[in-house]
Amino acid sequence: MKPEARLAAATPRVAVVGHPNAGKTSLFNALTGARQKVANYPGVTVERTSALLALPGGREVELIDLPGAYSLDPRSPDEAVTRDALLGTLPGEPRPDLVLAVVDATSLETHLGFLLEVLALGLPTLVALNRVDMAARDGTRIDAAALAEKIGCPVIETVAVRKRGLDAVLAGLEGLLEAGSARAATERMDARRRARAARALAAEVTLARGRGRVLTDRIDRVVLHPLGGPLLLAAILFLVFQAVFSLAETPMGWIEAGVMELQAATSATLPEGLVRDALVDGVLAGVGSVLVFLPQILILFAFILALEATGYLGRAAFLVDRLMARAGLSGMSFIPLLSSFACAIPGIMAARTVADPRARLTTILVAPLMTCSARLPVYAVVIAAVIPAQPVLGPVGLQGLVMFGLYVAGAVAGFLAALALRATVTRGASLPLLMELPAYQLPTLRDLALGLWVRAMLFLKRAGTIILAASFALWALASFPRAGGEAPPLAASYAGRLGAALQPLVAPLGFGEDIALALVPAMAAREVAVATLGTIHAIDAEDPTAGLVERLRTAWPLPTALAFLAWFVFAPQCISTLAVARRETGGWRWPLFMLAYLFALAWVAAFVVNRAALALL
Amino acid sequence: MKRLDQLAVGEAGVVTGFVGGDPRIETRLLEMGFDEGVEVKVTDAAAGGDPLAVRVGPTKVALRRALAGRIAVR
Repeated sequence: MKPEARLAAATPRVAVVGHPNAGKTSLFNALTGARQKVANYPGVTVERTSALLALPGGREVELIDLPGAYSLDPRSPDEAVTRDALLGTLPGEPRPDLVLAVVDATSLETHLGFLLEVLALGLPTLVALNRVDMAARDGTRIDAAALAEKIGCPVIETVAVRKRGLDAVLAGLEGLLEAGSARAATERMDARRRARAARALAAEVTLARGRGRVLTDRIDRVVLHPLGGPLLLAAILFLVFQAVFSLAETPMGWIEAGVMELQAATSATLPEGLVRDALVDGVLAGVGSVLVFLPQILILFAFILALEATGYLGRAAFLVDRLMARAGLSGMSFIPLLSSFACAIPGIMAARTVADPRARLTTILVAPLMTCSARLPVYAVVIAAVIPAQPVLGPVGLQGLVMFGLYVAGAVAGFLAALALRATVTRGASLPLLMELPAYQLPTLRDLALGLWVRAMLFLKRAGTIILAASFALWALASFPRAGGEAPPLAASYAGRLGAALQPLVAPLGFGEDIALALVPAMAAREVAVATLGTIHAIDAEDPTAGLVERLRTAWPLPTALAFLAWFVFAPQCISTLAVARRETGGWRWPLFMLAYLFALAWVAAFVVNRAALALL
Repeated sequence: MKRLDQLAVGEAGVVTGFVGGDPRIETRLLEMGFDEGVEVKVTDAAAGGDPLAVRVGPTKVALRRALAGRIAVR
């Protein structure tokens, strides 16, 4: 056993549980700060966020942030993890010693139902009665001492976002740990009895009942307005995408420069040979080409986290629900699909929050159709090469319009694909939208920063594993067989031979051998196609992009270029996406299906575009 | 008998029971706070009238009209 693991085994575990909107993660963030560690539960894909925490008396506990749940009767993979963790049936994860249950004081009746379910498990439990400030603002006062007496557990009033009540929570955990009092497990009530017990309990401990969330209702009258609501959402989305592309440019430049410097330094230090090539052209080039998207992903997530913290994302799901329903999905799929515009990987992972299994699978299968940022370099080069830079209307030019059209094409294709999938392979009734709309509140910088930190760590971990391995494999394909200790010209390499063998398959699309060849390494990441085309067209490596644009302008007929764009709208050219889809769907069946249907779509679309362009131009 | 989906936006009522007898759906609705005797109010409806935003006791819930049709009110 590693020393770290032995230490962890001796450290008491505290599971933090609560409704999705109870402020659970805020409390966890406030208690632990930047000490969070993100890992995966063995065998399941849900992240395990935990942190070591020192109690006032010096003892250390491990705080584990379990996924938010409405009940222990799970409706999504997330909720199943929460139940299994609390029951101690999660493989490799001992049952927690203590439970920290977060309850929203502004929705006591509803949240107490889940608390009663947790209490029945018999684990020593500390209750954090959170958002007491918002409850007070509404005129609601709750007798925490009376609640503690009724349920037989300490109850601490907290305001997680203002860091209020944290010391009392720590002291309370310590007290429970020292008392070591296991509670008697009681029989689990059915939903109806539990709901009634919760309401009766809430009525007993509520000293004054407020008039409800007046402010939230007032904001909702604007945000959920049948006409104004969708317009506001469209404006917010426009702003978000504008920010993602304009703000990310500079840090992306830094990362590119940094990777190039590392490559130069490695080339200068290591002797010429296989190891150096593998490091510089395989590992650094491959991982660097994916790492460069980190700024875009983080900026998009900063907005998503901020919108989530204010309570707006639930409203966005409400506004798009009807549209999504036409595609056989629900508003719950909106967030995963929105994330997929940065990168399909976090999008596919976010699909875990989609309660319905069929809708979740459909969301995963169509996520790669949302235009991820890896397509941008491909689109940019080809558009610059073949679409004339002429103005259309005011500041809107033809090139920008084509780019926008490609985004729309992806989204529309995703919609139609979802519709087709729900009528065939993922056919069947599904759970309609049913979710809590939390009260509005201001997000805190701390929660945003920690949320981004967790996402950055997850992305980097993947870049260091799956993406690293894929890059290495593709480098090897492009660098062997070696002739006289030298890397072969690309056309003579295994990748080149594969490209040549594949060319007849894509010849009907107007694709020459250069494109067929570029499509092979582009399986690692789409934008690699640009680098490969640059290599094939053997141009000055100092500025491959500008040179490539000029070269393609003369080398590619317009129908070929348009077909190439159409291909990239659909083609599943990303091994990492397939690997994540395998993890999330628990097997190769669905990622292989995804691969097949997307390649088929890409082929048909490119064929149609090529033939139509040939006929019309 | 009146159902929750028949209430106009701004209209309030009290839940009297569930319609349709699907225990799975009833459990979900109970967990969100819908139960006999609970006050409800339709606060908003999306364009086209679906889904609905409903205040259930102190909690606000978004739900499809089809689900609201499973809840009897007076």
